Amino acid sequence: MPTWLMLALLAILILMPVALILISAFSSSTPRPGSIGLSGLTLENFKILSSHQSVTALTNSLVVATSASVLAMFIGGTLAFLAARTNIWGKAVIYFIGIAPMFLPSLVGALAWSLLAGPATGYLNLLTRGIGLGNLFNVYTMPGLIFVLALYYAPYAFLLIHGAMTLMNPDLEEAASVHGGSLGKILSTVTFPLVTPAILGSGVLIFALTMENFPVAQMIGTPGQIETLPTFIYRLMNSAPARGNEAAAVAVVLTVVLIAVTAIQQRVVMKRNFTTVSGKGMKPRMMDIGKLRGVGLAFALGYFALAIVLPVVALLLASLQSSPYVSNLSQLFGEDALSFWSLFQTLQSATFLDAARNSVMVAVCVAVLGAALAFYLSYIVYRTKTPGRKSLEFVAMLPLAIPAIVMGLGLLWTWLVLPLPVYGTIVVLIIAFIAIYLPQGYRGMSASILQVDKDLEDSAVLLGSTRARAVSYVTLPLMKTGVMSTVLLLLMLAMRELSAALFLFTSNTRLLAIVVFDNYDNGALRSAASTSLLYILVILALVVLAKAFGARATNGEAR
Amino acid sequence: MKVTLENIDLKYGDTYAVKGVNAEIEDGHSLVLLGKSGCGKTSTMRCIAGLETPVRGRITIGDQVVFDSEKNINIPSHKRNVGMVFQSYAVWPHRTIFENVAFPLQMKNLGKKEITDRVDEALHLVGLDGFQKRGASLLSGGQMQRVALARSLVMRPSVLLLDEPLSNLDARLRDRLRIELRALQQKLNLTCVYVTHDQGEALALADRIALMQNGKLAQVGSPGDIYENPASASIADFLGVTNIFPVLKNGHPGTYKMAEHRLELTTVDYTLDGDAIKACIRPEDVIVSGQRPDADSNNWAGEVSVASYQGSNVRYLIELDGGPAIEALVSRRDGPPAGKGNRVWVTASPSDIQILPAEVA
Repeated sequence: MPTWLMLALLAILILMPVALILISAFSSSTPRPGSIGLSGLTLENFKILSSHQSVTALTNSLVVATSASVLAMFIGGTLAFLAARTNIWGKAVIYFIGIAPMFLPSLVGALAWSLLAGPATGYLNLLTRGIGLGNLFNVYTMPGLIFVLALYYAPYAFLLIHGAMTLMNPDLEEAASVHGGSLGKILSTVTFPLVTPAILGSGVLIFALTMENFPVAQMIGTPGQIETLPTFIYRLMNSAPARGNEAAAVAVVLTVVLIAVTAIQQRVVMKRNFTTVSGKGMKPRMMDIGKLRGVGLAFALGYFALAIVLPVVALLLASLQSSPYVSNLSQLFGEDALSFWSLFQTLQSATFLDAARNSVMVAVCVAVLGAALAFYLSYIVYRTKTPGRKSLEFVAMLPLAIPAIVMGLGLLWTWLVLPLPVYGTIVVLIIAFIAIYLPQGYRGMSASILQVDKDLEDSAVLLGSTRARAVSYVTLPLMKTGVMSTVLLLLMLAMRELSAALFLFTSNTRLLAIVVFDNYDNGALRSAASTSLLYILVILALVVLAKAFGARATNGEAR
Repeated sequence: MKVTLENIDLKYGDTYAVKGVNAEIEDGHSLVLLGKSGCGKTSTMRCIAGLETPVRGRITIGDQVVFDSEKNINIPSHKRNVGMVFQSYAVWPHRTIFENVAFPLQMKNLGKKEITDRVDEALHLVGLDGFQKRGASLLSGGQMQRVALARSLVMRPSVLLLDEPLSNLDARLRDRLRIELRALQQKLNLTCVYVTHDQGEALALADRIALMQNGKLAQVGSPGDIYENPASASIADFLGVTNIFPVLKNGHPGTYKMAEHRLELTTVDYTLDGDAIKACIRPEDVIVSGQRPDADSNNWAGEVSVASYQGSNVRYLIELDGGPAIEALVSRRDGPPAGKGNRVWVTASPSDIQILPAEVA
């Protein structure tokens, strides 16, 4: 495939949605079949930005994202330090705790926490009321929103910081020790400064992710009347008639903030890329933290309880309880209070089965096709001298800075306008997810292609093989782990994605995430809970399957 | 086969990596491209392999023009029948040694029997009999080198390219393989192009050496030529001449004056003039003695500031009175070594002092 064809592909996948958002923001009509919606330039749409609602939404977004990233970094960083560099008990368990919440979509986490700490009926409130303390919890608040986001984004900080801490050359610390540094001094003058880029990088990443997060904001924030930019865009699009042009204007603002943040992140990562990795086999030093081991372990277990155990218990209770309304915990222990009826009901329902099939199909296609596209792209960028390869890379990385909900809007308009009959089919969802996760796929693939010395492939060509044969005989087999990990990463991301699908699904192409979201939106909590449980099981099954094919679950990061 | 490079220009972006390179390698001869890193030697070699595309010039292997910018000829790498041993060896770690070495023959669709026989023969040549079944990731550096060599030899290449073939090996293995490589090249009458930055390696492996600086050929000649008569002071420096002093003509025929000191040098060669000329004296040509020698010129007194015992030799750094520090390499046969702080006399024969331009014009 020549480069211009690749460029054309990326233009349709990524540039056109972006362009349509921009056009709509400056136009008085939205794109529709036969028209890209450019009917007279206007700045009218941007008036909405000065409204009280937008200012509040922007402020809320900034406050929530900043606080959630600080909290997530604290949780993730502490766990990473414990798992990578101390003599705490059960390091493998700590590591598992650090990444496990990744397998729980934030949508499901938000649902579980609204079941747990909803103002009147949350299980935790039932508990405190039962022991005479009254209602203590209300998750539908700013702190509640920040807390839930931090819980489910801490694993990103954990992965990045853990990686930096394990790759650190122990000589650097030993040198400090030999020259008279105490443990505290070593930590403050060598260890932490060396992982600063990873800490800052993860901070900015989590800021961007929480800023654009839609499901948690919608499920926790909206009932508490806390609007963020993504939920504001969603509300504008869902009002009748849809206010697409104004939504586009808000989307442009959100995107500009994220582009600025992403640019800072790239800067930080580029400028302060300390090389701490050396070729020889390394074993990082383990620090004796003495009595703090107990505190550390309690911290990890506490996090695990809040992020996984309590939410899963809540989902179980909600899907097993026979009466939809429980006002007192003792009701749950009565006869026939719990039954598997609802869970079986869900498991057999056409809605669930269709959605599960759609989700798996979309995720598998996105993983395979997305990985193939990402491989081809990385190959062009890193293995050829094609002119314009840097601009290919730029376009491929662009979706990183564009919120999924905005990309979803742009893709909706793109496939309305393009004369291909994919709108309303499952294909459009596959295309959309490939587009928004191209940066993750591309990063995974290029990291892996860079690890395979180019000489290995060139030598096959000199020895008489064609380039394609050399790639399949040498390069791809050597990249096996990296390729499989990228496939798994894309599979996971596609399984979890809600925001980008919001504007693209139809009643025939609902995904599991959509079903959970719809059920919640309609107040069908029991059904939402049981679907969520099964949703988690499907995800786990896919992960186990992919790992059996040789993927590593923790290679790379999500959005 | 004979290999010819004519007017090769190679660009990376806007900068020339190789400029105007002309070279001819006779059938069965070896050419060593010698130079510092970044001088364009590896790029030149990669042009022969077809891994880089020059912007100008012509490359011929045997009777076949493999690249000609004017006629738009550019034969792809896999059809040039060029063998190459990469600096990293590029032995495929996920394949066995047999699979590695058999690869070029499989690409030619040869029969099973012939492949097995030729692989055995190639492995025998490099001294790896019986290694066929081993996985390539378990080999030592020297063995990887041999596998890479066998993999190229088995295809009976028109020309064999070797990129820093010995640089990843330890010193003793390097010395041994250097001799083995030279013997193999002469035995098989192979046309070889080596790239190296190590002058000792270049002298040992080459029929001819092409010295490269800044993308251009600075000097081409036999190892003896290059070693005895470097074309410039910077080439002399690269070849291990450590005593290089800027000099000026001072009016007395037959002598130069050091530019930064008041010492005079008597030389045989008295043609060069200008402000960018240098006197070059090999450390092994510097004679050190305890008493004033009876030579009439180039007699300098000084004090030993560093004496470094190297087994067969002693290397001295001597501060000349009113002059620069000069390095001397003295055989241990020439008496007990002088120590730090000893007063000594230093002399050099006028014929051992070369007056050279700083750079090749």
